[in-house]
Amino acid sequence: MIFLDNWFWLFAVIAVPGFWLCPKPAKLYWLLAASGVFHFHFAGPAGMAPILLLALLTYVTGIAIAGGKARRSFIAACTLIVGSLLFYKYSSFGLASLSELESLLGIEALPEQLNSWRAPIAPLAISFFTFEFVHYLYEVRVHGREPIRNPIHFGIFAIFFPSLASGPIKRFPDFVPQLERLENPGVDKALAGARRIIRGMFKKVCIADLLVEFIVVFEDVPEYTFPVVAGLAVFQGFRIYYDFAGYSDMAIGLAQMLNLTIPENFDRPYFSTSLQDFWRRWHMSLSSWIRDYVYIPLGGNRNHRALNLLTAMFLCGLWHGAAWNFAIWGMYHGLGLAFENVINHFRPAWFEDHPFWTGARWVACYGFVTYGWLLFFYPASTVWRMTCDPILGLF
Amino acid sequence: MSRSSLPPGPVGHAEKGPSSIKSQHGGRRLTRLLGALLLGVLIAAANATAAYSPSSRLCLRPLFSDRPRLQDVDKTGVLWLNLLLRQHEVCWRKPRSPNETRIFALGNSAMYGFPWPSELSAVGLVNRMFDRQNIPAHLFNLGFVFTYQVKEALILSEALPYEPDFVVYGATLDDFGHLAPFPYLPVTTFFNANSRAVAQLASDPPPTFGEPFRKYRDAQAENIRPYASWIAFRQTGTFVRLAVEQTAKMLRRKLFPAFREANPQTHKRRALYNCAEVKKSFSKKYANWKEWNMLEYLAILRRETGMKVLVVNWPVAYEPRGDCYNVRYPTAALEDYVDWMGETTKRLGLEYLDLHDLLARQDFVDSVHPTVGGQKKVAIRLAKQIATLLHKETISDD
Repeated sequence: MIFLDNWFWLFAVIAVPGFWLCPKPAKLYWLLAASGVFHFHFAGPAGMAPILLLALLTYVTGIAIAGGKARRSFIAACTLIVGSLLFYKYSSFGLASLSELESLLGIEALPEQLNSWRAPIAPLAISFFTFEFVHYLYEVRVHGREPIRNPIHFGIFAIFFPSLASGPIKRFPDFVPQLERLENPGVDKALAGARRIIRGMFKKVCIADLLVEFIVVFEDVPEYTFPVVAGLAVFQGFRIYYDFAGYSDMAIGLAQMLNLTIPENFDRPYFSTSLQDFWRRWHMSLSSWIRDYVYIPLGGNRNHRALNLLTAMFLCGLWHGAAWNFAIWGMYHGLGLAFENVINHFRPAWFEDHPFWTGARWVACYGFVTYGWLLFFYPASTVWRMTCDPILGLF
Repeated sequence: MSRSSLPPGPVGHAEKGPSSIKSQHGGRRLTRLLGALLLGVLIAAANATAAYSPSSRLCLRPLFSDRPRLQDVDKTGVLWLNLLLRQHEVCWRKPRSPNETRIFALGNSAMYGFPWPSELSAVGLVNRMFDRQNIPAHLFNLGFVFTYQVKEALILSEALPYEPDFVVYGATLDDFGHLAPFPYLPVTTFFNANSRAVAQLASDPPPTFGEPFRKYRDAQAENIRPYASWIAFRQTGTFVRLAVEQTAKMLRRKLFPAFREANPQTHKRRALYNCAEVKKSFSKKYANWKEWNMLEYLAILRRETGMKVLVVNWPVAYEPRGDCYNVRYPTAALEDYVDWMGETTKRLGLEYLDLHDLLARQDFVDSVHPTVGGQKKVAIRLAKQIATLLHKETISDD
């Protein structure tokens, strides 16, 4: 994790107090320079160059859209941005999957060069950059928002170091206005930021990382019994929550120390009483992005709701990594949400605010989400064993 | 359209309001509860094993599933002796009788008993013999993997506060490598993790060890010493992680009693080697090997504290090829070493047990480490010698 790297702390103790000491007109430049140094250190020139090119493209396109050259520029830029993500992150996976399908069907359709082709290493955080740039262009083109004209503002929006590597995914209408009135945080806000960073580190180092020790030991067992599988699922669920929530806390706390607010990512997700509720509380900056830029443009609740849900959640799953287990996990949640909608339609009483139904919904939701973590973390064949072995053990 | 005016879809956000603020507090409570629970478990675990502490130190939960050892060869993250000794039975073992002799066994991987579980190491087997025959003595296995007497000097100096009555030092010619800093990452990491003790020993060195400890101190001066507290903090963190892992393993053993972890892998036997290369490597690594001398340190300790000392010339595999005794040293060098050990221990008034040719080739799993049968042969000789020194000549061969 970048925030636990020794270099990062050395950087932070210069970057944050440096920001405070900067005269007001220089704060923006300091922030951009600090973010540039951070990006360069962790991504290297090869990782930074494609992102800077995409950022430049997004900036110019945003202004072009506002100048009237809307439709074509928007489509071309989005195609390039999403195409870069597909090329770097998913092309090897796609070709490997096609190749496996070929061998399964016993045909040879792909040229030999493509079979052995591997994409170059993806630039650091390309998924996050893609989502923020697409959001920016979509808001300017579809919702008619005023583009960011100040290149320094756009640069900071693009590579703001606290949220650069793993989000939260920012929204420019919320973020950029803060840059226009940038000043030092009050003592209370700075201290609150520091406390948030410490809390985040505690979540990551003292809870998530220690849970990993348990998980690694219990992955190496001679047979999957029910307590082992249930334990693994529960521990994986808490591990990913505390890992990611810890990271988000650190990012949000750092931004707070710079007097900037970035979106929250988690809101007690394991207290959710329905899947819809869960997705309002889990990785909120991603789920709202998927809602706004995939689900609603596909038709949202208006038509083909189940299909829209499945597509949105499939993409949401695949966003987590180029592997089938992520896609399966996404579809699992998509099916769950669709099924929940059907139940809600036919049995609305079950969704009433009654202690019994609330408790029952919590159990069902927690069980569903927790089992889902097995799909997220393990290949389908292992999950199959994890599911069948305890059942067969009963007989 | 602002974000707050977007219709709440199935994956939509609720607006932030009093309820979400309340729920954030709930999330913090959960985190605090988990944190407090974890802290409680760690404190309880630390105290649970603090039954006996001769030096009134806080002893820690044994870190390794193979409890009476100073390290686990698969888990070498924790190298800070302060922690390693606190988790070792030297800190927490309650003596079986008030007059029990505390015997610290120092040495390399052969003393450690690699690749066997501790109860099958020579030290473990001697303890079993003593227990069966009610001899009030207990050997503490301070064997540490890799051969290097400077490391033994460091371990011994850090272990002295745990009040040994008797020290057994098992050595081979390998341990007398004349290099500092030793150009091997695990050795460097070990000395870096103990930089404060290294600095202390450099300013007040054991006899003959001034040069190597000063070299380590100088090498650490710029990049390691300023961060000693940070390194100690990281070591403590690694210790906690290992402790959690061991707790998980303990739970796994309870759930699956039949499950056995694999023994660590040894290097293969290297009987087909090039003797010329052995000689070349030996002359590079072992030039002036007699200059740094653990035996001098042991002699001083014996004189100053009255503790007993037994030096054991530990068995090595005899796999001759040309002028070489085995893949590690030329025959002439080994003969010189054996003579020197005998003469030096005699000169310093130390007890000496020469076992270098005790074991046959088939008693080794590789070129260095004895089989369980080999460990047993060593243990019988060792137990007899210790019992003799303790005036308890009651050891039988079974």
